[in-house]
Amino acid sequence: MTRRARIVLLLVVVAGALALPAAAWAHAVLVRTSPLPSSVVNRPPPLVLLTYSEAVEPRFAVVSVTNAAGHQQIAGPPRRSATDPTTLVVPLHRLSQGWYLVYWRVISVDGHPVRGAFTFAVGPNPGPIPQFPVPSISETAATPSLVTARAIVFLSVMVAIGLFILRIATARPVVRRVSETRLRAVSVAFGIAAAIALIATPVYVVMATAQFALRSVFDLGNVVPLVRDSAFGRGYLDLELTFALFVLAAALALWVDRPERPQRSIAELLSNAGALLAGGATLLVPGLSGHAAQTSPRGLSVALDWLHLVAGSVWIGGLIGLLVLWWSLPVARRVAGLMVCVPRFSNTAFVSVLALVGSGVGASIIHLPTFSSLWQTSYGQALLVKIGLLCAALLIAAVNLLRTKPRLAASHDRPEFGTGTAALLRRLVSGEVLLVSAAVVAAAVLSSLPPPAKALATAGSAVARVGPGPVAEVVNKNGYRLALHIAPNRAAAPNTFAISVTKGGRPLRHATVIAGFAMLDMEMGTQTHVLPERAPGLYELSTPALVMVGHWGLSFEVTPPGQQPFTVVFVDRTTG
Amino acid sequence: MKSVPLLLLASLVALAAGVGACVVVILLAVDALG
Repeated sequence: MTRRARIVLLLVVVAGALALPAAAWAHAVLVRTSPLPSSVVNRPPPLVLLTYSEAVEPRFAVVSVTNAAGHQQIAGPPRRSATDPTTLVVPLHRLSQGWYLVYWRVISVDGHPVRGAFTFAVGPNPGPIPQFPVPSISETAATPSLVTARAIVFLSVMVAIGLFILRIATARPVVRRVSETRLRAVSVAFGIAAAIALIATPVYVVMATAQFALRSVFDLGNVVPLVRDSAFGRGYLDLELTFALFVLAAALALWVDRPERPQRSIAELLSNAGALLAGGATLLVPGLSGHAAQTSPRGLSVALDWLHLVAGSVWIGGLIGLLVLWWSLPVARRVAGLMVCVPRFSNTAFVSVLALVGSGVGASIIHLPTFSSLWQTSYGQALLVKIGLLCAALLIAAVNLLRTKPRLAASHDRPEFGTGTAALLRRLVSGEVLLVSAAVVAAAVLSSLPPPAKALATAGSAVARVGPGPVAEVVNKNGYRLALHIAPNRAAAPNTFAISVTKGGRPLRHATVIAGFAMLDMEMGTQTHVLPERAPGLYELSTPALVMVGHWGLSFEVTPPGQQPFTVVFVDRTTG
Repeated sequence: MKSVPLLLLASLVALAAGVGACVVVILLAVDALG
């Protein structure tokens, strides 16, 4: 492939990456409940059933069912349904007539806490819905300490694997082609990164488990036994085990390696194969224990996640390895050493970047519900930051590819180029390392944020965003003027939804107005209610339909007499 | 001194570590995807 063809290919893939964001993970979302939210049941239910989009851990689940006086109605701890692992079963005492608030907090398979609440009533005459105290239902795994620990784990594991690959494959010929050079510093850097990863991984998993269990991280006696109770904890312990096996295999491979010989011995080939197998296996663990394994098509999701991590590891580890090499080579042999290593790394990095961007694009197509969720959600915004950082790093990489690499090659014939080019390379690679490391930190933030629910796709056609607080919004559609009023627009409380429809200043009478309520942060389907006409052109209903704090898609389907219906959609934000 | 038997032993241990890591991941995959 010519240089120009490579650059065109790179630009096409980068454009693809900008058009579609990089890999994302979803969280557990509530998809079904029994009793239904806001429903009135005539017989007291013996159980509350909560069905999620994926299996959750009953050990970490907190569910409360309280009456208007705040008295607990739970008869036992939540347990997993014997027939459906995605359903939590919560036994209840015998309920009397009245309204009840269900509050739940669960831990996703990927280790993220998710909370929610809804109401239901036992009839036939439950009376008016009381104002329940709504507990906080926003909780994040993106606390500064957890994000820092997560980023350290990601970075150190990826850097260690990338450094090993650079040492064993890319930089190996330096020893043979440039006299009196060694690669010991690269091996030491690998050892440091590996040690950090081996310490950081258990520290992170204990910190995260303490947060799930709502305990102090220093309460080790109670927290450590809980680590294996979550799929997330088991996954990270598997990561620690496979990474430790990789470190053992890689250390032996480095010990066996004799870089001064061009041909590798059987022992070298066997040990390298062992280390690469273990490294590849290690990078498969995050996808298998995280959300990639829960997202259909699961095999493809896991494969893309693995490819993303492998490519990222080769890139960031190789860049750091180049810096270590620059620093450790004797000054008189620095340029000669870099002339051997840099072109080889450029080729590897080029393929890695293509794989990184391609796998990110593929994962995005699988995961993101709408293109607009890129800038409309905090998750999407964090994703844009990550893409921006990677693009900046790619620009520097392009400068290295187009300027530094040819100048290094030219310094073979014109030695006066050598020193300046080596210094330029060090500065550019340092900048690239900072940007890629920042992108890894952004990935740690990203994987700690709840990604947009698929229900958001239904809100793509919203005419306005309203709330929090009382709403008075006027929109025009099909020649009609619609004035929406919501009061008080609070979760778990009766809210009045009034929509006044006029055309040419005259009220639209005898229309059919159907309101639809869809929780956008969850996957719970849509509740529909007919809004009766209270006054000429005024359609109004009081209902506790907004049962949770968060974003709601409110759709109003208006059918004027004898005409085709039309629909307006609002995105409403409610608070507790 | 790196004798040939020692080098071979070390490489076999490294290979066993790699295979062990693969076994861990296969078990995890069966648990997660199965």
